[in-house]
Amino acid sequence: MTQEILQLVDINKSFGDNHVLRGIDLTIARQEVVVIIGPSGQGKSTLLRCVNLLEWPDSGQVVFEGKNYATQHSWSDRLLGRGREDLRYLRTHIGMVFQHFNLFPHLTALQNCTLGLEQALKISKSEGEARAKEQLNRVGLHDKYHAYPDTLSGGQKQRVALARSLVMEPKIMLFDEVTSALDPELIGGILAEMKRLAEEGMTMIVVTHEMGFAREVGSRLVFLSEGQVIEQGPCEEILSNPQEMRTKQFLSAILEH
Amino acid sequence: MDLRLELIWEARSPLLAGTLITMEVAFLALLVALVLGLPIAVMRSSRFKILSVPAFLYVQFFRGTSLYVLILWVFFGLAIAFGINFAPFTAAVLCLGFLNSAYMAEVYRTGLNTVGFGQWEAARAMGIGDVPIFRLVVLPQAFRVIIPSAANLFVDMLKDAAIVGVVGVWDLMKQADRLTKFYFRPFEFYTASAVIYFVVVFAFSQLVRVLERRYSRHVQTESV
Repeated sequence: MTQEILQLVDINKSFGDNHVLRGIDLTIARQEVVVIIGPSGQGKSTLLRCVNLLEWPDSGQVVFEGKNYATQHSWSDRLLGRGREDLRYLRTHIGMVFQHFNLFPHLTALQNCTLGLEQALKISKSEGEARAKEQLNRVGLHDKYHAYPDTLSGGQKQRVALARSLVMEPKIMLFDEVTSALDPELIGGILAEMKRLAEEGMTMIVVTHEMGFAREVGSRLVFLSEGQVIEQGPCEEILSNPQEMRTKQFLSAILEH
Repeated sequence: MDLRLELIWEARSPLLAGTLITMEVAFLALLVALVLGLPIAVMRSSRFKILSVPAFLYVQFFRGTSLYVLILWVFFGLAIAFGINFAPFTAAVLCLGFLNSAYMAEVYRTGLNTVGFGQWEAARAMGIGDVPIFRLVVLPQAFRVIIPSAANLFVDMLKDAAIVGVVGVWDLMKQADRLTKFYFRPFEFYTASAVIYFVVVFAFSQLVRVLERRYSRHVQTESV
């Protein structure tokens, strides 16, 4: 069951003069939980956003289930909407949860969860609602179907965001610092949900500063700095015995407090 | 001074007809402004100069144009120079509508800018296309911000419509003018038209409050 599901091949991305990703290669197997750590502003989020092509790499391949999706389309292709169906396929099979939740404030928790089902997967309203309720129940929000995001706590919002992604039945989940905007007492709840998801066999790529989570749940740790993979390997091994100087410096800096 | 308020009652039917015309002109012009303003706003926000520059010029042109001048130019100027003949009512609606579409575009743009990029990203990450995202996620949120400014614009349009009489539209003001001259009673009839404008604007404002509340259901009013 260690068959690969996603390969990132020689990914490069620049924003102006800022060369954010410098030739990243990363292969992810089914059911793997890959935890990406590293200093802020050095490409972790950008890398994650390249996986579902929210950012289009300048060069390199994003291979999902054997097919490269990061093909460079010409202008005429884009105008004619070629590749749009591929993009939709990729994004409906890769879920993403954001640091700032990004819930739709004008929709209820339930509507937040059904929008993607109805618009991207063309699932009927009644079936969509049934699936959405199931996911909201799972994350303990059975009494919040009709609540608007503004009335929810940070932890509840993040759980709605999680349900909103899971309802699409993705094959990979991306987590972009999902606990960073939460009060300390709410972090545990989300991490527990993520741990449960990992135990159920979800393939996950997690950008986080929660080393406890990495140690307990992660199957592999990737240390990213200055747009490159500096070091990777089993979480426990890297956390307790990093080989590279920069990894050592980073870990000692964050483990101090 | 003897006030002859009964004359207003006597002339109620032309006054009412004029009021309806004024409201029709303003309302149809609002539709024109709402429909034209949105693509102009989207073009202006575009990162492609071929779209943003014409939209910018469009907005600048109509912002710098007087409604009075524009309506005379369209109705008399175009007719004599190019033989393009508009009915007075059509000329009035088009001029008021086009001119205000520039302002409406700016109102839309402000509203659209308040919807954060994170909203686009979250919806895109679910595989939703940009057109449904715009329609179902961005516009409904922008509307909440837009409604008060758009309502203000409509009120201005309603009052600006008082000049459409210059090309022969029988709006409220032109009726009041005619009645004034007929009875030689400027105070009564100008007062009547002022009161009618006020009542129409007031009624409209109440309607807007209902709309605002409808689009703000999700916003918590009490502090968290």
